[in-house]
Amino acid sequence: MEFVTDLIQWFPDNMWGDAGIIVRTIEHIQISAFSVVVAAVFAIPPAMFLAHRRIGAFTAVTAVNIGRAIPSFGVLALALPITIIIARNVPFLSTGLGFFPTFVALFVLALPPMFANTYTGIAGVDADLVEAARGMGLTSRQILIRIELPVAAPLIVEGIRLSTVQVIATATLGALVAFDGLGRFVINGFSGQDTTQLAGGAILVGLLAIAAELFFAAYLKWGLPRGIRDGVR
Amino acid sequence: MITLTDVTKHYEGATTPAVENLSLTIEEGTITVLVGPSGCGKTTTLKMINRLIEPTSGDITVGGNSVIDRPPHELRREIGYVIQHIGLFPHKTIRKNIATVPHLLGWDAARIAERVDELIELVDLDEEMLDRYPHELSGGQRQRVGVARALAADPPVMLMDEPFGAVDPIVRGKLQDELLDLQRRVKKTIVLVTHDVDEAVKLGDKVAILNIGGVLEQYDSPEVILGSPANDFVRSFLGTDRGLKRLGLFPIETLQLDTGPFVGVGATTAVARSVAQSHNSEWIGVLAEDDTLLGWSPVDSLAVDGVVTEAAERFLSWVDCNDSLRDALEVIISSHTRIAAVLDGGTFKGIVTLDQIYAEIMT
Amino acid sequence: MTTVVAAPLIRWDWVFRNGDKIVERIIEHLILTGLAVGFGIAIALVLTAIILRWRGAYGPITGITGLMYSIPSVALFAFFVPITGITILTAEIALVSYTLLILIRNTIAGLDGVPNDVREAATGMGYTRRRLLFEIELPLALPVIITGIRIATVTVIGLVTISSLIGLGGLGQFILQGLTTFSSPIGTTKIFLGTGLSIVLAIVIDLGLVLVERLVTPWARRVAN
Repeated sequence: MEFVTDLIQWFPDNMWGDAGIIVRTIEHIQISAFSVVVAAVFAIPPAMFLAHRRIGAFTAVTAVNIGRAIPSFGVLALALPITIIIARNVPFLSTGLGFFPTFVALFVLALPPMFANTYTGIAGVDADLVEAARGMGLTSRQILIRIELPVAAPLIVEGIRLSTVQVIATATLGALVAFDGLGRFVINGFSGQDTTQLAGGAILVGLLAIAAELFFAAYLKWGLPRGIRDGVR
Repeated sequence: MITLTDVTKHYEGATTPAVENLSLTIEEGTITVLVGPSGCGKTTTLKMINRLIEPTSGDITVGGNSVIDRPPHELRREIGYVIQHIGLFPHKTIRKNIATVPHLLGWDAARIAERVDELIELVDLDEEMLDRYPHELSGGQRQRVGVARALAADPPVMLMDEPFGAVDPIVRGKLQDELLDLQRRVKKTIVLVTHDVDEAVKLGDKVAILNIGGVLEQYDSPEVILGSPANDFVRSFLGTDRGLKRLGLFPIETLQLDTGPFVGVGATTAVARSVAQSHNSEWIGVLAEDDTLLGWSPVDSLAVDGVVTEAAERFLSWVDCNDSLRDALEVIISSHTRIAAVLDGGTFKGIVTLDQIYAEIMT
Repeated sequence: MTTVVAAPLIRWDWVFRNGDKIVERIIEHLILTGLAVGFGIAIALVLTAIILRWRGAYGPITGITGLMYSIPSVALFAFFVPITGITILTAEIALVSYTLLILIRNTIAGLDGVPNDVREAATGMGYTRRRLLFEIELPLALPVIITGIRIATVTVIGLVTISSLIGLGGLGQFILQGLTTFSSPIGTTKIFLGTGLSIVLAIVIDLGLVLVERLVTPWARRVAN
């Protein structure tokens, strides 16, 4: 019982300050959002292009399978020595610790779901629809932008959702490589055997992940044009 | 064999019943076709017989026993069932598919194997099909397997729900012929649902025409229904070519055939000319010594004095004596001769004329 | 720009000297995975049976398991440590909760994917509800169900590494040890080893399950001619 009261008390006690819940949450969101956006830039356009040309289907399938098989913890750990080597050789990156390895790991993990979903989304657009568009005189580029992209939108958003939730989860482990974020509470809780901090951090990470889920669920439900969301879902 | 007494089916939430107070007696060993527009409750009626749909009220008996008193799964094992998409089990071989009901009834393996061999022969499929899976067969072959599966436990009754709806027209015609041929051998009580009048007329010994809400508008043989439709609904449902459809029901062999302007090869041209004249014909048909058709020649081209030899032209306007009057009419109106020669397996039997067909329509 | 790596990233001699330890970690990893997937399947079966009996339970059950699915496993590990301690139970709670949604959703989708005409024909020929489920519907749903098991297993193999944070973790132990000594060549060797073997394990088991699927669904193997 004491644990529960301690836990409830922990939140207000640790809300403010340089190492408080607010700051840690913002850090967590920052690195997650940054990683997802950069990964989206690298994953979605190539997938769009390849799927539009109907090439590289095998790559898309492999991306899903490999993406699932890669342990996020391992990628994060691998990012550490690799970024240190990079940092040693690139003068302006003074340190290989903290933000950079965490970002590299999250970036790598965010790529496969977005690539695969964008690919299947666009490659799965009804061939009749594309043919009708071509018959009406749309150019290849117009077909991609005006037809395939909107129709594939729900699946692409779904891919971004998968990436985001995984990135939020893995960012927690960033504390192991000297990044802060909400993982700081969890990892410090582990190492200091501070169960209150451990559970408090866990709850915050869980809430953030669920918040992200709800955000995307809401977007899929209300943010898309009506014809697309009703037709595809 | 099957009786429906005041059967009503009222689906929950529907304003009007799908079938209301329907009474129908289906005779043993016949094909009875339920036909009507969509929404007429024909499929609902069919499915109430094997209780895939439970009637709201009324009674149905099969072989004298009410279907309501029995556990549905036991009842269904005694009634063959064929549906439009057949529903072969994709994970079982053709052999296992055919053996479904015997397996459910707990027959021993030897008896099942023997029965499967009989059935595959009955529906005219190759034995090597038995170890294939359904997706390895063509649509027509799958349909035959569906029929074999329905017949497996030798049920006295077979229900067929749009059984040929999913195959192309050429295969459909062939499968219909096969069903009629099969029925001649197995003599089941078959209830078949279709929305296609031509199919109903072709297959049914009796046809029940249903209107929206399961109203029975007419229940009789196709000949009677086509000849004297009970009301305007039936008339419009049968379509404007009702008379032609009816002609399709009568085989040519029922007619008294005329001999026509035909002579044997080797007859003198004088005889040929007089035969043609007596039939008021400008051509003369030539038969071989075994009464097979050799061809025809214009009377003008016959030698003045000699014998009829090889005919000049091939004889194209002919029908087989098993064909229908509708087939004969078709041949007559698309030929120069204005008659159709009737053959029985190649042997000349006589001719049929437009007048004869017209007389038949009038009866 | 000065040059490159002084020491090799992987010290193969260390790998060869520690073969027995590696095998031990692999076995631990497999046990943790097997337990999670095994219990996951058992619980998913019960929940699926409930859904089949009361269709209305589908929404609530997938809602709750969906929530469990989206909570990061490291958060679940951390949350349950104060309650269940640093035990295998803590790890399994998190891992099992991760499998449920995938397994249930695929099983139901597989059963729903059985063609209606097959179901109607079977019922029309006198299958009882139970025999229909076991002899027709479940076999036909097998490919989709096995796909669910494949996804769950591969995901769990990756997640098991994280349980090294509470002293378990099989191959994850190599990764964690490597992290604490990351500046040494042995450290990077351990990270590579843990990560690489986890991937290999996932791929091998995935392929194994593909093989199982092919064995239990002989009808799907032959292509239409």
